[in-house]
Amino acid sequence: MEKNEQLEQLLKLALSSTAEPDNNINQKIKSKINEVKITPAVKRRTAAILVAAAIVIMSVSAFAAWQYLSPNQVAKHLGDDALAEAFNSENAININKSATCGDYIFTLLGITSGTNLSSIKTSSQDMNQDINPDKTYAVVSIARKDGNPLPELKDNFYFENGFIVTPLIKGLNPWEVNIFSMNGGAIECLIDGIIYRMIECDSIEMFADRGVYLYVGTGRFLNNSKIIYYEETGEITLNPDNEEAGVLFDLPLDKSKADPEKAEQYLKGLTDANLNEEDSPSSEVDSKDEHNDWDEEFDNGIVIPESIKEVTINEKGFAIYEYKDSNRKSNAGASLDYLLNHKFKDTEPGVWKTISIFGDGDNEIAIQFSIDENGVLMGRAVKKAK
Amino acid sequence: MCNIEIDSLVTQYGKVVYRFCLRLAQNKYNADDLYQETFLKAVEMYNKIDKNNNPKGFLIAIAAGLWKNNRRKYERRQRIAPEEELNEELAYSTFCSYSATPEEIVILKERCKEIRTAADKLNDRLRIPLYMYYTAEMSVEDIAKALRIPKGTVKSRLHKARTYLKNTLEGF
Repeated sequence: MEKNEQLEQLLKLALSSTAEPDNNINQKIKSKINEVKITPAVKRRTAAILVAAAIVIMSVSAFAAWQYLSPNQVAKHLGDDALAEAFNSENAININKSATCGDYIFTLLGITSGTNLSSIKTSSQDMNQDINPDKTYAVVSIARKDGNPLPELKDNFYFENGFIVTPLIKGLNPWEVNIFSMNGGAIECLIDGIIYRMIECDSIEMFADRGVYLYVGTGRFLNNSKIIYYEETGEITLNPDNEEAGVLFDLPLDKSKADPEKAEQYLKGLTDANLNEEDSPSSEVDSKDEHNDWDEEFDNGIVIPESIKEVTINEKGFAIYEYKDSNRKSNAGASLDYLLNHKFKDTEPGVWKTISIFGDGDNEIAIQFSIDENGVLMGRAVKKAK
Repeated sequence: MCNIEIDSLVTQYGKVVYRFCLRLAQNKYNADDLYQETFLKAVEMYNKIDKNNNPKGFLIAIAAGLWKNNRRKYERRQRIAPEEELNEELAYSTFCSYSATPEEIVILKERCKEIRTAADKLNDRLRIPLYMYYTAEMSVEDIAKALRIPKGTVKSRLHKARTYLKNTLEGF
């Protein structure tokens, strides 16, 4: 057997599986499918009205006794008894502070930090246990301002509308130091129409002397439309023009727990990790691939003529393009530096490159930028060819 | 497509979808969850499923999409007994003659384990097409359709994944 053939067989053997779903899972799925089937449309509408009426009545009566779950209860509900205990210890800070923005009430319930607090081991912990054993856990709740319940977590709503919860540290660039770079993760549950999200990341206590914030808001990523970072002062504030809902909590950390030396070491580690990632040949290949994939996908796309317009450059050197049609709106953007020195480096004028894609399935739309022969950055929207 | 037909999809494609979920999620607990969510999502998207046009690919694509969207949630959960089964029947027919020694079988099992561990370390861009190809036994064309990427890109990702896995196998 030739080597390649042997490898192919070995891969097939290793990656194939004989596992089967348990019978009761299939039964559960089938009965859920049937539940949907037997509900006629008219009845569903009636049911919706009844539910709405019930919610109005309940929310009126519930306001008096309104109370969010405590961090301890949330951890317990999520099956992490060890962490539940930690939230009851004297090291934990119970905050219970709410802020309303847009359609939501965001409440920071509590925070705790330490080593081996959680009984749940994550892959990021497996990889980082020796390097960053100290972790921070924070619990927030997200409720609708109008008292209506948020949809079930598997609802389509969350495909289009996510929430982000991330610590940010005063004086450190939020695009570089945030939950994603700090080996973070999150787990959440929905109880009585309120989302309780528990985040985990490398410990933020070492930064206690600098000032630490917790950003909670809609969307999946952090960008300068949500917050503003003032490099000169290190302050981080909410962007008043933010069209999404978002709030910034000041975390009341015990400054005596700050460890500037450890913090410096940690930040050096983050910088090295970023550099390694950027330098790695695989990441370069992957990223080139991604962009080529995008451009190839929309090769035969249909340009929406009215979408062609000059891209706006804001005072911070960020190129922003907004696309709107009757049903949707999307903002695409990138730093001018990235566009000129990477994306359009060695590219002929007039070549369109995909910056972002939004929509789903056949309704996908690519936002593309191009630099014309006069050096003007132009944007356009391209509909995917069917 | 009506619900009865989706019900029959569970019977027809349940196993392959589950195996794909299990590879992706790496443990039974998460795999069960991902598997259930896949079919419940399929119910919501029933009007997009064409039973004559590769429903398996459609279901696998839903599972991959759900995985990508909820990866952090799944990763956050406890890892319960990583799945390490060896497809014994296939192993014998592929590699082992009747004279295969117990040592040879142990080596083969070790190699399979190494491959699975290495595959789990790949990023999703390589891992998802890899499992679609080897676990769900989808063709390159079907993977391209499911992921909405060109066929050439699927081939190049599979090639990269294979090369990486080959390099992790000592002495191969």
